[in-house]
Amino acid sequence: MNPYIREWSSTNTGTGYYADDLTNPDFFIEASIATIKSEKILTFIVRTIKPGPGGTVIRGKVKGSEFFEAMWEHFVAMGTTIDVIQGEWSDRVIFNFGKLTANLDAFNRALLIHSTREDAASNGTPTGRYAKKKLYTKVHFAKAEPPSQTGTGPYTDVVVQFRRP
Amino acid sequence: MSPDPLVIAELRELFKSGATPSRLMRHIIAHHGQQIIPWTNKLIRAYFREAFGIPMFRASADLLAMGPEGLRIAPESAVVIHEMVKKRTEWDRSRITKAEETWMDSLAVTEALKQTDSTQTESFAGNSNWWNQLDDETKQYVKEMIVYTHSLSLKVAILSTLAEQLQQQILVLEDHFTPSSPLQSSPHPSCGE
Repeated sequence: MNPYIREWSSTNTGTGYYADDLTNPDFFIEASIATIKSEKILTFIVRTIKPGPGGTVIRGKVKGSEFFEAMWEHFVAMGTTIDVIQGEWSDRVIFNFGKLTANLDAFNRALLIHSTREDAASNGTPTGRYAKKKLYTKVHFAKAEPPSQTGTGPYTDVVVQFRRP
Repeated sequence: MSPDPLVIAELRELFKSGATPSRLMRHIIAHHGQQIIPWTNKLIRAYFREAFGIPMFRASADLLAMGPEGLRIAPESAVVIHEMVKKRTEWDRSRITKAEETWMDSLAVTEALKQTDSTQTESFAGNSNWWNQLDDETKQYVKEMIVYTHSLSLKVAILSTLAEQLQQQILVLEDHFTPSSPLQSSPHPSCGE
């Protein structure tokens, strides 16, 4: 595990996880598992960059994939089964210094390259790639708004679920 | 620090009486005091999860401290309020027993909810000729457009009802602070009497 990951062990449970970057608490991962209709659904937010002065980008010491891996190991250690990895991607504001739209932006770009939006979600986004690495390759869109007749977006609000086939 | 069951109950009551997510965030912060921002945000997300079944509330506390910029959480509020109303059966036991009526029981909201629910189960024109002539891609698009339209209708119904609820609260406050308001029913004879 990346030594810069600080896990908040006292609050982490079988259904919740939080870790941040030792060098800057603005960079973190938070995950939660909810049971809906007997399925355990993992939702998470991860933040590893933020805008710096003069249009620059400040990066933390931990990559998104490393945060994800640490979270995954935690839930495995807790014996938690995960049926669904759910991505909630939108262009709505979350922080005063900007939006968290890495997945949404990547998805909209990937739609122009991949033949289906399922492929775009699975292969063209950070969350999709994390899910694929864990063999969650079956893709279902619970929400993709606004509707697009060609399926190429651009979308502003997406809820996508990755399951094992 | 985990969510306090008492605060969870208060948040539910506040929402039922017309409080918006920013007000609920302020209530959480007031209860737990000033903390560093990541911790406060984590706590706010935990409360929205426990109180209303929102998996990951996506607005941060620092936005509230920015004066008029606090309005920046409005886009998130529109979506979250919609989700909170849709999930009401999961968190509001008084709805099951129908012990009390709230702004969410208004005709506009309940009708829009019914419409949204039926959209998810109906067969979209079934076997009609025009439907069968469409290719699968177009059928999918039409389905998504209908669901989207109904979802927007529900959001409008919810927000307009909530706005009216807040207006009513303003009227009560106006009556309280300006007893001679012309809108108030006057004990004095009006013109023409």
